[in-house]
Amino acid sequence: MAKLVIDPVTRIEGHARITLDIDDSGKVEKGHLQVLEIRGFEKLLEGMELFKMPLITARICGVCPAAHHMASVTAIENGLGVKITDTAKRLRELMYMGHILHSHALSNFVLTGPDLLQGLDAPHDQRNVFQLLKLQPEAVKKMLRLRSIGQRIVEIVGGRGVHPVTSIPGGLASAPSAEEMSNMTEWGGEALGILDELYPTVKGALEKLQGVRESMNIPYPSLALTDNGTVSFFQAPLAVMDPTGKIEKTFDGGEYEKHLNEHSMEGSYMKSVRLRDGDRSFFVGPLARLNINHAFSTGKADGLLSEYRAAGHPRKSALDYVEARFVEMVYAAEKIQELAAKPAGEDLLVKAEPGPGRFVGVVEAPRGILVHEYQTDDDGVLTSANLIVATQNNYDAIDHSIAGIAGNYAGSGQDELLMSSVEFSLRCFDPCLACATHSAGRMPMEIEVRRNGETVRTIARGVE
Amino acid sequence: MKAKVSTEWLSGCSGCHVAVVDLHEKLLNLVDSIEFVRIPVLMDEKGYPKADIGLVEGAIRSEHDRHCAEQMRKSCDKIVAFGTCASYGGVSGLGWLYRDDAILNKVYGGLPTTTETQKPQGAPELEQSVIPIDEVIDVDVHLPGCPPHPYYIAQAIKVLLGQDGAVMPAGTVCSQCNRKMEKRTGVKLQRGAVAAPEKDVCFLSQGVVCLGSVTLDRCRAQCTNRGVACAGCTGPSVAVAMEPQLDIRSMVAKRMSMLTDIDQQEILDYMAKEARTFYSYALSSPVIYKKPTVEIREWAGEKQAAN
Repeated sequence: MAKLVIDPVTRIEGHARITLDIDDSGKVEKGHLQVLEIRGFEKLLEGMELFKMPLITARICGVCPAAHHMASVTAIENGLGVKITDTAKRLRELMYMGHILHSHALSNFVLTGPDLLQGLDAPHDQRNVFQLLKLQPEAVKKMLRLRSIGQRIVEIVGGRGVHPVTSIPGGLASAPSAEEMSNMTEWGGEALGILDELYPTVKGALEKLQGVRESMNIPYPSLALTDNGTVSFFQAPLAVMDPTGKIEKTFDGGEYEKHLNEHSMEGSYMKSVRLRDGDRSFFVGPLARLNINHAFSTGKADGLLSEYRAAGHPRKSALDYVEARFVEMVYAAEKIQELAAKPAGEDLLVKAEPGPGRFVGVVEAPRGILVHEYQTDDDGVLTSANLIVATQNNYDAIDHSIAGIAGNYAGSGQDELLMSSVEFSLRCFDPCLACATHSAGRMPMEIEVRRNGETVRTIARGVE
Repeated sequence: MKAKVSTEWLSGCSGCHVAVVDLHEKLLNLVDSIEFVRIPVLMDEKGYPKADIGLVEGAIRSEHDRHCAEQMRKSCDKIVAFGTCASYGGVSGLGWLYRDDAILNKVYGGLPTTTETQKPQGAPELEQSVIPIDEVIDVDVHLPGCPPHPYYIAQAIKVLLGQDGAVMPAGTVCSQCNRKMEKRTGVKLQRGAVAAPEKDVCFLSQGVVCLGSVTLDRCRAQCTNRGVACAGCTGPSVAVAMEPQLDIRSMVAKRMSMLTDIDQQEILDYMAKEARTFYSYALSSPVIYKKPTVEIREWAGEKQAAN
């Protein structure tokens, strides 16, 4: 039974909350996500050894540790001026494509999947992957298999599934065996097959949600890495594309702080990131990547990307994140096949030694732009650290999208649908609250509705 | 009757929950013998239903964490401190070194990209410190690991369900490591290193500090077998946890100086200087900081210490 409490409840720490500001006519003026916990990694990393960063910063997040691992090792190598071997580059990319597959499959199928396949109006206590497994066992097993393939690849190349370790400054600490390479090639093919089969299901589910598409439009610029129009997950300049589809500017990751700034947000430990130029909001992630880039480097993904862009460019709705993630999964699977087909190789590591300096790494995490910066003393020990993560970059876009979708239901008395749809719009961004405040956080279960700043009512679910 | 399992997620990273999903197809077998009645990462929260086993991930950072831990204790027959954060504070336990202000001042004003100089208005207050869950509730079983290897997660559940043949070994990471300890001469202490050239030889023999010999195996030595020295993420070995006089720094220094000709004092000094690195996963646990031979606050910077 759905348990719906429409009642002022005691404020509960630790839950993310959402506030909706409504005007006298009942129109939603503003939506706001509040994240209520913090660990403060920027401070915790001070005084630690530089070469331990790729290991320790992975612990920021259990869902996307490989992204932090890569941002960190990239930062260190940039700062030291170390050029890694092609073999190390290729194997790292293989691990990362596994990671993208794992993370996107988790988001699209395990977390958002129930919303997509069961619908926003399905009872909330039925809307989860276990229930879905009962309803559509074959399809769901395939979805879970996709995530497994991705995560196994991370485990093989990265040494561990959660919190990988093998990308060390200078390259890779070890290589997969010939048998493991051959398995991964096969899995790449298997993943492609599964994605082929699932494509109509996903398209069909998205079709049913067209009614809320426009309400989730984000009128902001996109920000993503671009290798001259080709999708790149690391080591490429950043580009800003305005909402009409024009590239405004590009800049190098090492200068991120000249272009981005952070703001404290009301009632929330998560900071929002904006473009310094005009203090403007923007968005990142699959949606931004596929707006800014017109090509991958693999056949099927390029075909899907052309179709995706032909249906509208630049894409603006948070709903399109789901489709963009799907296209990227196809790319990841193709790339896995390609990268694992060659023997692993033995030239894994070049010399790298810790020392003083400034170290900046920018990568595309599954959810978008991720920045790590460290500064060290003569012993190679951190004196300061700065971290900007994808979900922070999307904070303003998330708020905008929440308000947009809530507007469909705010005055309707359909509180269950209001909550489901607000949660859904948030899930489209695949928000990672663990990352975002470098802290733990939960999906919001409490929505506060305010008129002229006064709380009118609080809608909560399952709070005891 | 399927055993009911309930999980909770406090101040941590969700990695232990992902490790449950990383049982892959074995998860489906596990789901045949247990029923998840609450798993907030995958299901909408529905309060705290009665359960046979409660897995609690993450440390206590806020009043809310404390409240959730207590609710889990009330609703579950057996509580498992799930992962290193729950067992020993984990990496977020480094917050134990600071007054909250130091962290908040840094995050909301002391960075190249920050624009305000105040913490956000209206955000809830935090606890003074980061603490393991057994400081707040009784814990039946500790299952440390960052995260615990999925194999050990399944083993732990089998042990709790009393299934035949399931055991939790008490060895160190070395017990699963393929490298050989060898006496070497002419080796220098490799400060700040995480890897070593010879892949079949113990890191300590090659002058690289590896915490495998003082760390409990809940990882199957994945790091050392893939070329990276142990960072101690599971927390102390049974010997170190049980015996107050034993400490990871003195034990590693002694073993390393026996395997090489590096002066023991040089290693001791180095590990004290880099205490934040070598104690990063368990320093907020009294198991470590109450040891008579451990001076964490002094090593890690007394001037910034809390309390």
